[in-house]
Amino acid sequence: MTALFRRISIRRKQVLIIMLTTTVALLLACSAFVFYDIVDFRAELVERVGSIAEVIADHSTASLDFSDPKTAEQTLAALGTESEVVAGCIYDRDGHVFAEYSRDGRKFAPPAPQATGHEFTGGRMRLFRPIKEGAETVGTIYVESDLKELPHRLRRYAAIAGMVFAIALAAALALSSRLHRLLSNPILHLAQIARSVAVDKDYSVRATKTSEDELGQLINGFNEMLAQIQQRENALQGARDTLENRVEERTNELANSLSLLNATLNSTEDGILAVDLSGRAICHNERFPAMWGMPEKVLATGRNEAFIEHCATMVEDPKAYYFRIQELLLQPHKASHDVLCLRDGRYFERVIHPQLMNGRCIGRVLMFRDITERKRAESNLQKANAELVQASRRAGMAEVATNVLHNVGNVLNSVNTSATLVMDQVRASRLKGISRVVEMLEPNANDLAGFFARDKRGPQMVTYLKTLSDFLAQEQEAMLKELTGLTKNIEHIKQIVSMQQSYAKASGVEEIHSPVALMEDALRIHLGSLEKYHVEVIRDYEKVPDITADKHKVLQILINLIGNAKNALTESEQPAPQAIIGVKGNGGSSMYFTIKDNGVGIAPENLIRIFSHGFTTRENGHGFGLHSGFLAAKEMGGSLSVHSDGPGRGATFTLQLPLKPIAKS
Amino acid sequence: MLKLLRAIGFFLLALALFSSVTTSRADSTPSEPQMKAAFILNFPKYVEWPPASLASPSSPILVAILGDDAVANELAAMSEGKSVDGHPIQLLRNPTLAQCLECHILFLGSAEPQKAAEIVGQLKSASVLTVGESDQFIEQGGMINLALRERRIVLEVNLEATRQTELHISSKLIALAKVRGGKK
Repeated sequence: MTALFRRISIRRKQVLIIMLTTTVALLLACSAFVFYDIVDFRAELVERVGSIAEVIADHSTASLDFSDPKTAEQTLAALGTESEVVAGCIYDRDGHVFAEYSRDGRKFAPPAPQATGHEFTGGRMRLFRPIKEGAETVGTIYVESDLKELPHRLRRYAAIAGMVFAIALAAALALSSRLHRLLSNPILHLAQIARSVAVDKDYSVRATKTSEDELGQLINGFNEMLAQIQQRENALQGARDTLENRVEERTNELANSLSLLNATLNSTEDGILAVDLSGRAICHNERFPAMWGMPEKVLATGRNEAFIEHCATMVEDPKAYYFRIQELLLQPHKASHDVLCLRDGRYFERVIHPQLMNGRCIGRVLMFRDITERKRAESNLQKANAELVQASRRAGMAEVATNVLHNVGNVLNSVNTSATLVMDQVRASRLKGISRVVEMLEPNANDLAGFFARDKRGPQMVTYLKTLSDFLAQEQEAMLKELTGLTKNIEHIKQIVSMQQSYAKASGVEEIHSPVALMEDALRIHLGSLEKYHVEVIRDYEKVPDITADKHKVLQILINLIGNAKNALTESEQPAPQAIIGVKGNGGSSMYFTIKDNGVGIAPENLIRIFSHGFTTRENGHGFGLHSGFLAAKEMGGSLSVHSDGPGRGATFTLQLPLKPIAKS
Repeated sequence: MLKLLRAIGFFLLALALFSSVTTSRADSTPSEPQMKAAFILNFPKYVEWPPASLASPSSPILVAILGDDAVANELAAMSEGKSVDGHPIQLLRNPTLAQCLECHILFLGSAEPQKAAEIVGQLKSASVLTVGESDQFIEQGGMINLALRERRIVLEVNLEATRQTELHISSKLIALAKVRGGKK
């Protein structure tokens, strides 16, 4: 049904709808009419029969009062005037049937009396009314009517309704077949325009508006829509043209940048390979296969695994190479830097960079650089460095030896003086006086008592001996003094020599030392020359715990620093040269040796490179002392630093060392 | 067997019901004096007295009884607290002649027909509804006679007598009654 309705044309639909509406409306109206008539008929019947019943009731009071059923029956017979009334009866006060009426004269069974009212049941209308005498109810009247009149009436009404229905439908059909054009013509017009737009893609056509109602609005909307579509179509076409231009532009740009990239990739000396996370080679430059001597067959696989396999045949240690590759593959997002040693003696530096896109790793770029030349240069440099270290070591030793000789020479002077003095004293000793007394006494050995008794020299001799013993005691004291100095000096020489020996000794053994003692040892080396140049040495020692360190290395640094301070002071025209030697703790796990002078100072630009290798300000310097000191301090886990307020304002060197050496890896 | 028992049970039940109905009918049938008393008490509804005799809306309707104690007793029982249109019923037994002139309804029993005739004669043209129970009552000039015919009480009205008074008897009542005397 609905399918059929969907298929038929809008014209027919309209007529159908109008007819349907008319039919439904007419049916509803007729139904209402009939329903109303039934209700009306009933109401009228009740009204009619009710009023008769009431009249009869009014006329039956006396019959009831005076128990006269005959009269009552006569009164009741008035019901016969109404053709619908079938039967009736009057009940007395007690509800007993008092009088009866029946249309066809037959006996009927009156129902039990009820209160006033009526009911329609079984095609009958039953009505009860009270019989009243003023306010007093003296009985009840009952009337029963059939409804035979109703079907007659209904039939009559049905005939009228049918006629009206037929005429109305005919009128509606005639009207609708004319009126529908008002609606369907514009719609059909619109449909035709829409079809022509759809088929011809011609957006310039417009529908013609014929009315100002919703259809008119629809046509307006349709036309507007067409206008917009037309506009969009034009805009779209324009955008498409622009887009094509831009795509071409971008393609050119891209091709340009791609060629640039290729040129860049091939212009470098490095071999470059880009792989994605699945191990597929995305791109590589020409240098990459050339470096590795990669055959075309391997290259053609385009797989990183094949490349790795090939490279493994080239490296010195394939096992380590594979191991490292595995390690790197596990962390594709990490940058790495390795040096590969090849069987043919070449060294390749391998730098791996993750390829990130929007912060996510999508692949890796591997870069190989041949660093064989650099390696060679490095090893040469190392050799040269070692040679230089050796040379400077020798030079340092020579300097130390000069110092030692200088110091020893100084001490030897005083040793010499002391020895001459003692020799002179011994030479001029009064011991001869004793031998003279012995000469005098020897001949009289047998008679000494006689000699003293007779000879007049005897008493003089006692005085003489007394004076002599005083002299000798004096001599002894003077010589002892000289000899003590001599011993001291010799001891000093011995110390200097043993210091030199300990310095020259290649040590490396870490022992526990008092920092003050270490400083004193270093100072002693330079003490002679410092005195020579009238340098005032001020000791600024704090109580610090012992340190565990390589004595040789510490001494090497300190001797160098003190030497530098001495040089700085001698080069300056400082009237009161001063060297402040300090040993300080920092309350923590390290301590400081400080050597401060008020000499020539250091220019700020030199401060930053003073520890670099080969830097010197002295003509005969080789620029190694501070550099090696710096390295040695680092080696021991400490540091060497310098401070100067500028040229002519002195300098302070500070050696910081840990109390306990840092465990070497 | 079961059917027979059921049939017997049904029969007994029907019998019991029937008998009860008949007995109740017999009990409800009123006696003659009762009927007469009821008729007398119904008369004020159908009779209009001149306004002077019922001065105020609550003036009593005086009913006098002479010569029939049975009806008088029934009247006494039935009129207790009864009123017609706001007028209470007041009984007056064995009234004097003067009292008879004052009352609205006078019932004259059949016991003393001579006295009845005398009193009726006295009351001529007075607004008193005279009610009797003997066949001669109408001839004697009484207004309404309660005659017994075929065990039923039948009303007889003497319109001649009522016309001489200011009383007005409703047509409803007249319709029920046998009119006598007027045509003689």
